Amino acid sequence: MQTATIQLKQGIGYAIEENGVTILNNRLHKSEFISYPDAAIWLVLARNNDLKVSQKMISAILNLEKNKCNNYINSCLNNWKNYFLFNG
Amino acid sequence: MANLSLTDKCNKQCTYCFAGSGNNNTNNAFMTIDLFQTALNYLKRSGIKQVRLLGGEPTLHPNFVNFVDIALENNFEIMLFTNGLINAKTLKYLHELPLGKLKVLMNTIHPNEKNNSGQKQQEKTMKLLGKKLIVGVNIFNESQDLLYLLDYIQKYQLKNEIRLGIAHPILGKQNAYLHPKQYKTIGEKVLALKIKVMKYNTSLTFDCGFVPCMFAPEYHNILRNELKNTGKCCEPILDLMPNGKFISCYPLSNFHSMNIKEQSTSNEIKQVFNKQLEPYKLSGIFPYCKTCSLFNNACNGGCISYRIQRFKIEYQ
Ligand code: SF4
Ligand code: SF4
Repeated sequence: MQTATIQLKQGIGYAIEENGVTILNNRLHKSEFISYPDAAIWLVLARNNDLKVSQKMISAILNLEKNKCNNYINSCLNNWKNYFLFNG
Repeated sequence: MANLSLTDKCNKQCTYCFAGSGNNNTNNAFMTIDLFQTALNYLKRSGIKQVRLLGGEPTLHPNFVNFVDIALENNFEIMLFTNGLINAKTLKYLHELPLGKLKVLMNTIHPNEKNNSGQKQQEKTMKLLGKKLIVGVNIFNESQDLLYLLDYIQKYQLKNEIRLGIAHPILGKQNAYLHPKQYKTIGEKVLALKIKVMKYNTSLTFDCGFVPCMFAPEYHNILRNELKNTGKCCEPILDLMPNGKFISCYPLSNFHSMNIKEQSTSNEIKQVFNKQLEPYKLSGIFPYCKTCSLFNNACNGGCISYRIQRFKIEYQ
């Protein structure tokens, strides 16, 4: 089975702030601020290509059991679908 | 305000050079007389009374004297940004211009700098231009000493003003620049200079990119005049390059540019540039800017060229 991967789309950048993450969409010339805890999820997803690895890390960070954690990640990813590219 | 870059040619090799004239620049472009005339018309249309000439080293333009004459005939005042390595004939010409018509801002070489070739020439320039000349320095490293600047003013009877600039990162280039982590150290040095110059009523002026948090709050009272010029940078100054393109400022020269047009005014160009910079303004130079009470209030978050770099993104 192919592993599901995830990566930032071209033209998407981010800067880490003390209280969250500022996301920049360079194509649309727009930026957005995400505060913690969602910002922590953003950072894990943006830094790891393998979705399974990210899921494990986030589950540990948020101390959530697998299903609840995956639901949470999915709802975040749904909000961020303009920023990430999915494979598999 | 708008600066006219007459040439990118330079006779010094500053590692921090904003203008991309140091290090390996081999372009040696020169502004044409026609473009200079177009630029003067643009300044008039925009209600700007001062022509600010810079480079590279602007005095290396073969028509430099001619350009200054034309600007003066059109009733502009001249502000010249120079490294002070000016040939004898041009120096004599500048010396003979009336005091109210010309201000010269010279970035100095520290007397103890290892590679201080050019320092003798700078001394000649200071001697001859006296009260027309403001000494300045571009700070690109936290170990730089600033106290010598007052000695120059006293020794050569210069204008009683010191201009401090911070070297900022040029997007897409590898120039030496002062990292924001070093700002506090420089803040302490600026404070020491301020305490030294207070006795002589010497004013300190800051170029763009100084931010309030460089200075410990307990000293804000001593620096209250100078603090008025901090935190408000990145309203594009507009530099017109020798090829007829406007840029916001040198560090953003690879970010955006716009050709000069017959009808363009400074406000219109600034509006376009500001719009393009808008998304980057959500962040400051530090991760803690967003929680700083001064952010978007007394401080807009520091040099936007550095802020763009924080996103680690292809910006064009
Ligand atoms: S981006 Fe702003 S602070 Fe930086 S060099 Fe340009 S005008 Fe100055
Ligand atoms: S906004 Fe940022 S750069 Fe400006 S004073 Fe506050 S912490 Fe310093």
